[in-house]
Amino acid sequence: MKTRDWQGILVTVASLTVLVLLWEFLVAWLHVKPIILPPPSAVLRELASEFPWYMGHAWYTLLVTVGGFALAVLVGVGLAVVIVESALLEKTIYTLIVGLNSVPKVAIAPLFVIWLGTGAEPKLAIAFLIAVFAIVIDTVLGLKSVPSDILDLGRALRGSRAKMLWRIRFPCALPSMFAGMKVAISLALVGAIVGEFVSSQRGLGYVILSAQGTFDTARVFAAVLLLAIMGMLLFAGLARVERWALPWHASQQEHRPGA
Amino acid sequence: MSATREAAGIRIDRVTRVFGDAGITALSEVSLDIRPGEFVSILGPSGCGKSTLLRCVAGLDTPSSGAISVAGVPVTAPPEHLGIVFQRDALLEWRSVLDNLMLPIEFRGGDEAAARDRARSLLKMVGLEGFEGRYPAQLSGGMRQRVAICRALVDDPKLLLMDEPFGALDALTRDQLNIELQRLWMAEHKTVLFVTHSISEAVFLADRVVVFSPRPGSIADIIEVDIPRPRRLAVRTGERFHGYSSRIRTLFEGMGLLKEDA
Repeated sequence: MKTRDWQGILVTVASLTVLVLLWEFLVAWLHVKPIILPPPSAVLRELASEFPWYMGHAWYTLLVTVGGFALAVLVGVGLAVVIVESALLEKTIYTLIVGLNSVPKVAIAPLFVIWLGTGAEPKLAIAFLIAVFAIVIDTVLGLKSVPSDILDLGRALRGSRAKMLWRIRFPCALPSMFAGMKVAISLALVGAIVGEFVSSQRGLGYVILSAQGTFDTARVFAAVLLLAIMGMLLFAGLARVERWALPWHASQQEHRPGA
Repeated sequence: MSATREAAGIRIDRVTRVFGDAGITALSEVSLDIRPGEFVSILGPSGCGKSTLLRCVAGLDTPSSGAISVAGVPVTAPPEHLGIVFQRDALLEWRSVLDNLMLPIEFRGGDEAAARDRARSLLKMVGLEGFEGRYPAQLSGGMRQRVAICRALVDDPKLLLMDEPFGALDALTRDQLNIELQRLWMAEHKTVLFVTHSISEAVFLADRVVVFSPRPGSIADIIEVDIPRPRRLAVRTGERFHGYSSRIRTLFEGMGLLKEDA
């Protein structure tokens, strides 16, 4: 890593530390009740006291999130391809999808429990459903935004439909697809938590809900902290995959030596 | 590497192209015969239909009436062995320079190893040796357009179509690429149809300059350029070059496109 990167990390860590210290200090100074806002030290103590238990629940939530996200990528990209390849499907399915996207998906979460029971399936389904729209919409956008010159070039080279799709449209759409996936991964985590809120005996969503029942605020904060870390790691992981997959993209270039 | 495929002649026979319900006539009764191996510039102001004509020859657009044939074959779809260069280079950003050059082979099939060799020697001819692994975003505008020209030539086309290929470049780079294009053309002897709105570029490069008049696009005049090759940039200050240029300028004045006094 370069010096600049280290400096960036240092600034982030330093500002976070200051914020946490301020929190700790203000809670003590203003005599805030721990049930309203526990000091960070209490949250960390809570987390450390039952660390393996927390990790078990975090692992469950992670699996549901990644599973729902992976399903959303598979189905979302597949749908986007058929939508772009068929004018009829674009008029029907795509219009429907864009319309459905404005329905608050959280509202239908209880339905999934009725349909799929109380296991992992309804959580996966909710995570999938919340995430899939961003992927379909951004992939369609990417597949359709190939510059007209490049499409003309492909036609002039007498490229088959399959070659046009896989060698021109698809790579061209990748930056847009990654933008959609970055939104979707965070939404999948939201979906997993919502699923666990609605009905679950496992996962961080369950931890939060049950701790709320006993006014164990430190436990709620511990679970939220884990969720925040998980969300950031998932996002960073995806950004890393993106850098690996798109070394050519303008957002990855540090400078343009020829320009 | 060598260019072995025989250059194709083009026959354009009373081609008319009308766009849309409003019936805007982009081309009206254009007829032109281009000999195999000839370099023809199509010169005209913006919106005179010169790009439409090129797109019809490329099989990317269809004339409303009239016919076009390339190497004796009527054009109903993009012809075989066609090389094409656009104003924006149309490089694939996710492919390295060399992989961009391999696209025509991947699409049309052919000997990949031989194509790779030819790609390398074409890049060498335009001074891009050592840039094979770079991505387009790492190249300047002039370098990108050189890559686009190499890509059009890599598959040894019978015909090279160029739609204002240097229109977006600065004047210096443009001059340099004119010289390089002439050198490539002299080595390869493809039939070239070169669309431009620059008088000096058209005259410098072409065997014949076809001057278009706008609305509806039609041929105003055809000028044979009798200047020996290889032409050096200095010919542009010569008397003969001047004669051709002022003749074309007079044509444009006659169309009302150039007015010196208000």
